[in-house]
Amino acid sequence: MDNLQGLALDRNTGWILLAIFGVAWVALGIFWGRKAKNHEGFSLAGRNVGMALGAATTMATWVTSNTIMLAPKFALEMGVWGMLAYSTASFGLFLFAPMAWRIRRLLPKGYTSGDFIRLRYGRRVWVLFLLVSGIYSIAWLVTMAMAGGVVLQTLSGIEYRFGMSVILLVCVLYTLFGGLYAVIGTDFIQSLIILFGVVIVGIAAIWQVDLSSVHTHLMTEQPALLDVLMPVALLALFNNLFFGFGEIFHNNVWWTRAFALRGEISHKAFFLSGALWFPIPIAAGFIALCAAPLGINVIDADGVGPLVASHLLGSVGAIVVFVVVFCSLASSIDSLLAATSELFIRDVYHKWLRPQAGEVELRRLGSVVIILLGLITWLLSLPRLGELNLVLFLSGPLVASVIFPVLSGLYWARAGREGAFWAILSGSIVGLYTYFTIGWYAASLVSAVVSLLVVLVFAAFPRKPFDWQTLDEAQQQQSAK
Amino acid sequence: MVFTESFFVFLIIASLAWTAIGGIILLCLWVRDARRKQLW
Repeated sequence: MDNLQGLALDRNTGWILLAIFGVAWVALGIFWGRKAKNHEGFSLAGRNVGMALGAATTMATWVTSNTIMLAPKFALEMGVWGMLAYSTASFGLFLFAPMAWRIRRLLPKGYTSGDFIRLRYGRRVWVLFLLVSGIYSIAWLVTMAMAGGVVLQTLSGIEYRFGMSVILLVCVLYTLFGGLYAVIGTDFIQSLIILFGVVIVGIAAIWQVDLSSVHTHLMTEQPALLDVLMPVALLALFNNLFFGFGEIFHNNVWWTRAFALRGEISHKAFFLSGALWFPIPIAAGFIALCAAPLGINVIDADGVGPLVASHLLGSVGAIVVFVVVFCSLASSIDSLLAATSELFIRDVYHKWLRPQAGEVELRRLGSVVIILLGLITWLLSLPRLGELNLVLFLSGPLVASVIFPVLSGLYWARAGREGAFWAILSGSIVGLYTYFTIGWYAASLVSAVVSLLVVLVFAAFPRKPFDWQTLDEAQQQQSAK
Repeated sequence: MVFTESFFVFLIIASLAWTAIGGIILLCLWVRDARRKQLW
């Protein structure tokens, strides 16, 4: 039986890899960051990003370290449905494709998802939305930083707090220097590394382990993992689906991409990124099912992916997983840092606290907010609280409550601000109650259903249809002058 | 009722092939956009 320590990279190799990729991302961030001539360039990459970079950045951002680390864990605990459940998170990207097209037309000069909520539903819903989005963004950042620390420790023995700190520092630095240009440029390289890295480990697995024997082993030892009607896994599938919708529909990471992509290709890029993302949790997850036939003793389910990969490919496997996870982390953390800081700067600071703030002031504040976000994430990640997926899924019911207010806000003129407010509030409360009384696998689903019902009930009351023109704030301001 | 062996094998092989093709598609798109000067 192998154990974690026996298969790990040596610590020096871990530090060398960390240094090489850290320096490379920061250097590329500085290089691409030179394209940003003003704050709009820094925050939206000039609103002219093409198909290749657009699809790659969207895909890479959605491949988080959690995808690489949790997909094998899902497979280990919930079998085939566990992998398929994780893959359904790609449906959010597919559904966001037509939304991105509409967002570009309704808000041609928009900056953030907060812009839309404020203009569509007013200040009360906007404040609630910013709260939900803020909690989710921090939860996402913390789980990724934690995963980074865990995988470095698993693979190379670098102490959790040091590995986590270095990864976070690298991401903060290159986002700070390059803004969205740096984020999108590095995301393209990272997406290729992720895709081919996952394929290399997967091929190594099927080279060494007969898939038929894996199936036979599961049938004999753990038939529940092959059960077509495994109740918990089926609940997890629908829960993941709605969690994914909630994460993508509300979060500024995706809205900034909708604003940054060229108008005519935005929907195509999102659709392609969904198609690229769909197979990854299966391709990255199935190796966990090879653990038992390979005689690997899984002590920590969170680290099963790297453990099996390093068993299959030795130190090369450990290096591949190390690099893939580093890229997954970086491609998501950078996006989240850029998008969340923009949400704070545009929505909280510029629209709320200091409407007279100029471009230079906003650009300067952007840097400060990125550093502060990194610092908050670091402080929350330091104690390594709880299991990875529990931390992540705690924010699930919150974001799921926003799905229908956003959807109806974009497409349904009868949807109003009262309905949106109570839908988010009641969905979040009932979803959190479900999380603690039933479990994470049902919380997002319940939250989304409650939120939908509230939106429908409020829309049944007669009201004046919403005037879509009011969403084009720049046009409205010009007309007012 | 359980997932059959043939489905299990197909699922894994197809997901690996799909992932690899995805990487190749991205590279081809990058070349196309670069030639047309439409990367950014």
